[in-house]
Amino acid sequence: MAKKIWTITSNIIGGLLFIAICFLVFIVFSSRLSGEDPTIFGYQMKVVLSGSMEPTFQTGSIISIRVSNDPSFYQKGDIITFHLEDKLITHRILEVKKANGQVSYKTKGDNNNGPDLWTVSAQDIVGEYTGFTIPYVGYALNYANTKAGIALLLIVPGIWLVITAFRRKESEVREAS
Amino acid sequence: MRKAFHKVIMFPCLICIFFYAGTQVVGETEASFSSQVASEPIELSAAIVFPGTIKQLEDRAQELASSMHLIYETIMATTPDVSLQVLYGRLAEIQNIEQKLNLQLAALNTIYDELSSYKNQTLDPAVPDLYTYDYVQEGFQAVQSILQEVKGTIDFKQLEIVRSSLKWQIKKLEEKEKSSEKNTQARGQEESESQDKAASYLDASTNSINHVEVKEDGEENMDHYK
Repeated sequence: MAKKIWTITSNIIGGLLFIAICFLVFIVFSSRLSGEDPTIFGYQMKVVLSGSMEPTFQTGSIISIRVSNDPSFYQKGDIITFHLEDKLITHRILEVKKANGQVSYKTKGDNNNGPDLWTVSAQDIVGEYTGFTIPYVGYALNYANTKAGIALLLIVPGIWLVITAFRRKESEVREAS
Repeated sequence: MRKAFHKVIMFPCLICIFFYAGTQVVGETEASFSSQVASEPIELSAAIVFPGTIKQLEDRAQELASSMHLIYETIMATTPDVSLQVLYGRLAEIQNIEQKLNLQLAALNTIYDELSSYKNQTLDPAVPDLYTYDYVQEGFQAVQSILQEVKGTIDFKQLEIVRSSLKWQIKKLEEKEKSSEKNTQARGQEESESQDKAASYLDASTNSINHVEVKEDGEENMDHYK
């Protein structure tokens, strides 16, 4: 009985993992094709590379961002992620400016001693920080993107799974014969 | 058992792949650092002297010192016994070189004074950052040591001695020449006198010899007649 339960549970978990992997692969490929950042149900995950927003979130943590459809409704105190040249910056809104019907934001890092030198226009905003953060995971993700990380997390397990699948098939054929 | 092992291993593999796929979904954001500095009035002032100038002065001092040493060595080289004409030439050369050495020493002193004035300016309490002008102090010290070394090596008194010795040699040779000329003249006179005397003696003796011969001839002739 216990063996049966274990078999069913492992099959369910294996199946869910497989579906999750397929889903992630689909998300990654679709975002690569569209040229946009990967978004899952309206949320994006970002690794924090520097510490100007400490202690709100730490360097090396990952944060979630709710992608906005209307970037002109943000208020003073909200933490927004926006494009600045080729970078994505996440800072707190210090001041909301409205001129000629256009909204722009003056921002500042919590850990910075002064406001940013730039003004963020509404169309540059990607989304708002939701308050969800996991510290240190960013370091692990960073390692996963190295050559050693790719070998450890993708190539070795992938080869193992392929070998296992072949052996299973082989034994099934043998049993059938 | 083997099947179970494969199944157990399969989970971590799936988790690894899932984690890797997860990394591809996560992007990056920067919590960029920025700081603002209030603009303050900036005072701009030119340097008293630039390192290039100090280096140039130092090089010039080094050049002068080397040239002075070279010239001085040529003067101090001893000359063997030579003719009066060569000694005249050497004296003129030494006087020329001595003048040149004096000029070069004056130039070296000017460089030293210039660097000294720069050094004094840097020591002025109005100068904001003393350490900025370390190169002036270093340059001054270098030129000071060059000047001291030149003054220690090149002895102008020794030059004077060499010059006076040459003059003395020339004087001595001139006197020698004069006396030899006098001697030659005197000898010439004596020789001419002695030649005259010899000639007169010769004439006299020649006459007497002829007389004797004549006499002898007469006798011979007489004998012949006999």
